[in-house]
Amino acid sequence: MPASIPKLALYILFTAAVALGFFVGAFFYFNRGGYNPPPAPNVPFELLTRTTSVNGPSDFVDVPQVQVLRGTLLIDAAHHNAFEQAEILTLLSRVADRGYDIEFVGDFNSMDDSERIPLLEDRLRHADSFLIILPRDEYLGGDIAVLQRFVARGGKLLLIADPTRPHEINTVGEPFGLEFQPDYLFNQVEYDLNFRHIYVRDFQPDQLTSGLNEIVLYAAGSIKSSGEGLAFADANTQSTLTGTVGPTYSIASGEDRNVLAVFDLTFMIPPHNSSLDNNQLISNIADYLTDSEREFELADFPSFFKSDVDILLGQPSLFDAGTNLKNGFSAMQIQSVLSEQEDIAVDTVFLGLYEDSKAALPYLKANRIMVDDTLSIPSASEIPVMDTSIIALSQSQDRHVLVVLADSPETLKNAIGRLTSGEFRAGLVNDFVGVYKTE
Amino acid sequence: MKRLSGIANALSRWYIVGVGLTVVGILVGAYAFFNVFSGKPQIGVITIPFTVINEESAFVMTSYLQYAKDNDRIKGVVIALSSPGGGAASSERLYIETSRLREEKPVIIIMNDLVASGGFMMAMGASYTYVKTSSLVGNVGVLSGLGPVLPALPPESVLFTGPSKLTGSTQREWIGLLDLLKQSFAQLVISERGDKLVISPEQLMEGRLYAGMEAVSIGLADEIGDDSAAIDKAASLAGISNYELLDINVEVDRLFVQKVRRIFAAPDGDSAGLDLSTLLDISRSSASSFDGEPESINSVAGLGAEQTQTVSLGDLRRFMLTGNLTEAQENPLPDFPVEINRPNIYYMYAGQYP
Repeated sequence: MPASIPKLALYILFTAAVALGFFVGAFFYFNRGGYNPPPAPNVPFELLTRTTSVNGPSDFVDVPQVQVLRGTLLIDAAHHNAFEQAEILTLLSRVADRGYDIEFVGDFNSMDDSERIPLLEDRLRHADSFLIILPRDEYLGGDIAVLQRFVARGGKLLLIADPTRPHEINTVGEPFGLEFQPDYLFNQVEYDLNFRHIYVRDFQPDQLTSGLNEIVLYAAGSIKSSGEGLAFADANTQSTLTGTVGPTYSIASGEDRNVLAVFDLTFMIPPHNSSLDNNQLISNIADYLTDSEREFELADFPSFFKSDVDILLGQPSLFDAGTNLKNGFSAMQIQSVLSEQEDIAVDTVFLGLYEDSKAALPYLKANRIMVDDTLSIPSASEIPVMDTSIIALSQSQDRHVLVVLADSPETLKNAIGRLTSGEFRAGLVNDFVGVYKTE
Repeated sequence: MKRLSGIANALSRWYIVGVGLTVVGILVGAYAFFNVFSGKPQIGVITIPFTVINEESAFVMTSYLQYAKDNDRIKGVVIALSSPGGGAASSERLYIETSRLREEKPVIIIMNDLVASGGFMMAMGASYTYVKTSSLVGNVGVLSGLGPVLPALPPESVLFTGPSKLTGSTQREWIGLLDLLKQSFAQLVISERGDKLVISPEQLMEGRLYAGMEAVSIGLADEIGDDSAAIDKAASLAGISNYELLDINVEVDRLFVQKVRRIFAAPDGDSAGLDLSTLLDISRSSASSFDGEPESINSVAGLGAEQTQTVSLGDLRRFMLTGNLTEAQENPLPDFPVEINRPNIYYMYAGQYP
């Protein structure tokens, strides 16, 4: 029995060795090493801080550079325009502060061409400036012709678009040499809270950029202009439009300096209007819009009267006719007085019979009109004076004089009726003269 | 006696004893090995088909990751991922869960057709990433609505204790907050990718999508490869060979179904352990969001044929996830005239799917 003990131990050792061998073999069969987890990255969140927005000067005061007695800014709302009135209130209040009336044409919906174009033409007669923001309907040939005539006669046209909203602004921009690009601008190096909020610091000297050091545009696109770029983005600012070469600008004038384009609406919407010099830019735009030197035609009556009007009678017997005209002016919210003597500093209506024409001779001569037994008017044949009346507009830089002459008091009364009702436009023989026959 | 003596003699022959002891030794060794190592090592495979990350899908994906973490036999994990991202917090949750799993086991993510934004953030938690040449990855950045729109001053009956108490911030502050989140997202990617990343932070924050081969060359992904390469990589990093694959989706679903059966089984064996009408109402009122193919749960839950309505697995998951603790409950704050909204911040690619 004692001899069998070592044998048993040998058996156990053998069995254990086999078990160990299997264990080790199996371990290496299934495992080739261990997993060394990568070190956890140290993300320096503590170094990140929330940036705060820039602010403008808290003591900004709007100082109008332009003060006018009367004027009208017309705003397009006849092309399904993609903005709300509240968004431009800051600009509108500054325009109003400069003495302009503000009127909208249309009701922010689409209008039929046959309805819209005559309405636009009629409303632009008495407008000094026209503001078009984000039209969603195209401007057609008829619209453009009306606008080109408006701009050619000194009316100011401001086009505003925003790359984040749908628009057909190029249908009105391109005829004036302005092309709003299908892009938006961004800067990843330096921006106000968001990469699309770009700083602009490079300004072309101009009335519009006067007093500007730094502005922020909050959703700006780039413009190509055959005129002049006025506010240039820096070299880190990129356009989403591939292939854009050269400096980009979001504010530009057209071929005609009376046309201005701004490719960002948001900078004037509170609270963005108070960032950096944005308020100054808004004031400058208000100055631009109210600095119109619009040339008027007779058809634009009574918009060319920018101040109170003197009504000068050719003879005292025409008092009733003068009163009629005064009442007509009152209905048009124009102050007028019957005057006995001419004041050459005041807009005037000369009311008389042909026999009184000597008193209005300088103004008739200005239109090369001669009154005798016949009326001699350029671009018209001689007209016998019997049962006729004539209305002529004479204008200098600061004054407008309207001459209304007739064959008799009755014909004069008829002419005043035509004038105040607007029917006089049917008898225009040129831009400044109308002749009327009373049956 | 003679017969017993013969057997003893036979047993005493060395070769018989040797074979017997070897067999015993192997059995003992196998017993010990499989007790210590609990079986053949496994590579767990998680498949995430095109999935928008939200609270519910993140919950399900987290349950997959958790299963992989808890199962000792799983030595490495391969995740086949396709996601445009989604909710910011849910995306971050998946990143954190993935990186935690990475601390214990190698996690290999194959970025399939589109892994963008929040999906890409999750991929940053992996030990190693594969892309296909045609994969689209990246899109680092934040997507959000304009933020708190300042309400009209509430009536005097509503008291609040600070100017930002109702809205949390002004619109400008909100924009600044989003920019901060963008920077932190980018910083996370920069830290995770380390020296491999060869593009600038500004380029990264442009939010571009990159093709798979571009992603590798600029360091947003490690290698171009397919599922088998990812599995090999997982095994290599885990230090295992002769492994088997485990479909974690199936395993988790199987456990889930077992749980459902337990819930529906009342103590007496009837299948009426839960207020089923409530469950059905809730599930009918919401669309399935995670599982594309609705799976009838009736048979799983042991419902009778008389219950004709079917409840998808996704619906049931949603119910079990959210119960009745959702914003959907009527009038969460009685008589409080302020609309309650959840934050709308997304790490998500919202462009057209190429």
